[in-house]
Amino acid sequence: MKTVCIVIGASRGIGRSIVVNFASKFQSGSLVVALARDSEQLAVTKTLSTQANPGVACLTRVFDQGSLDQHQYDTWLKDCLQGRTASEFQQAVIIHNAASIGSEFCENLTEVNQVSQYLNINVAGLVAVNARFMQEFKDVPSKVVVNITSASALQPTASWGLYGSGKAFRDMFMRTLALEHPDFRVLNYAPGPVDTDMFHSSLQKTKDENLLEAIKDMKKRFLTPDTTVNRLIAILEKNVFESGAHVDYFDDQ
Amino acid sequence: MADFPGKKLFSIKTVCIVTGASRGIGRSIVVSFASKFPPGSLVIALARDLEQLAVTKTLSTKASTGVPCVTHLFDQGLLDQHKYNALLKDCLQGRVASEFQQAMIVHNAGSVGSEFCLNLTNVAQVSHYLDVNVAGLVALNAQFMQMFKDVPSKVVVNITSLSAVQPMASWGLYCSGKAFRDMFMRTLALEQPDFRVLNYAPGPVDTNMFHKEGLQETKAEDHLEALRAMEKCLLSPETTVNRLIAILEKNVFESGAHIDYFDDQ
Repeated sequence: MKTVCIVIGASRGIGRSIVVNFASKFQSGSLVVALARDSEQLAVTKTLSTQANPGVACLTRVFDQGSLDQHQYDTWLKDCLQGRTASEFQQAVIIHNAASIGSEFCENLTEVNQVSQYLNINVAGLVAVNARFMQEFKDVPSKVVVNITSASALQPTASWGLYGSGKAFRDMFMRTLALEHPDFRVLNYAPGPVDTDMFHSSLQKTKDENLLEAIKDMKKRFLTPDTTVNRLIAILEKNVFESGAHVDYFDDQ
Repeated sequence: MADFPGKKLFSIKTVCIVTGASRGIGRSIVVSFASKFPPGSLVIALARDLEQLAVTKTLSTKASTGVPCVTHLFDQGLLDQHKYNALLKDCLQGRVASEFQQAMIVHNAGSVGSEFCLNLTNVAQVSHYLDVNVAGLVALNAQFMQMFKDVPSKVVVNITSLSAVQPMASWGLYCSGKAFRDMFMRTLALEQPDFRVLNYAPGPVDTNMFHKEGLQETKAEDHLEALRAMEKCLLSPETTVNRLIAILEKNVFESGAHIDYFDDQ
């Protein structure tokens, strides 16, 4: 069906792969909106998306999910629709993919402004973007919300306290959304270890020795963005998941 | 490495910090804990309301023997780094960490902030909610860990909720914030095997939070009905704090565990 699909953190990695692969699957007349901070890389995402499916427009916009600029949150969606209206679409999808790791041990998280900023990017920004999405598309028949989560949402990970706990927040927030809106399809998708900048950055910046070893070990069998996104697509297409569920790449299908 | 289970957490000279200590569960924790610690211990009561903190102090002093109660203004939602850096030293009032055999912190301050997911469009408001309930806790906790790193016994208690494990309509921020805090405590427990870390869910308690943020401000009708039904059988703060004390005294809990008032003992 004719879909408007918003992807955050769409300039590279999993986000870019989602834009391109989803665009290739949506019906002509659909619209994919790619948000990120890097306008140059967003342009590349747009080129790849248009190549994959010329019948689906890809719109890009610079968006900083860590910003507390309410004007940005109030205007991004209308800007991206560019005169089109919610009523044109049969389905509205949002993929909450933007995130950061911010590796640090609990005992060193003394800078309250840094912790607050981490939460702005990974939590508050998501909540506010999501609310705007819900308001704009409340009359669209089908609504889908996907949160890119992690095994760290379920299992504590040394020196990833902010990351794991932020993912735990996001999972529960999605479960609450699912409870409040039985008409939404809500999915927490944990993509597995993926060959992205975030993964490589975690190799450089993770502070816990044991975890670093485990991540290096994962490198031998990590997934491409396309592999994990194809699994996400399969889950969404099958469409039997319980709304609000946490589904991992490595779960039985 | 701590020599638990069975190590007597209330029998050793302790410095104990409690946030949200001006009323409700926080006040009850200060008073009850002070009455149990040995002389020479110190209880530090933090909150935004100085008048009510003074009442907490009076009650604590009456209930205890040789355990002073220091009160200090603390707004866990304020992003003032200087206040975080100076707080614990100010509260110790010249005493030093090495005087104590145990350091304890009870992360009790919290707010509900009922709103539907759909209406959470104001990013600064959401950010502020997280400052109060999450960022402030993380930063204060780190100060605690740094200040008392050489004290032999360390205990961290997070006042959590059933909401941390069960979503509740129009309590998205509260449930998710509690989920964050629980996982943060589990991460702390993993990083610091010598700490005793507990997520304690106190049940429905007869406090200002229940009546105001719960009964008056909860936006989801079904949820409000459920809260009204609970109103008839609320626990007193003392009852739930006595259960917390029992759990800590028995000291067999798995570090990082989530324990609810209504769990089997």
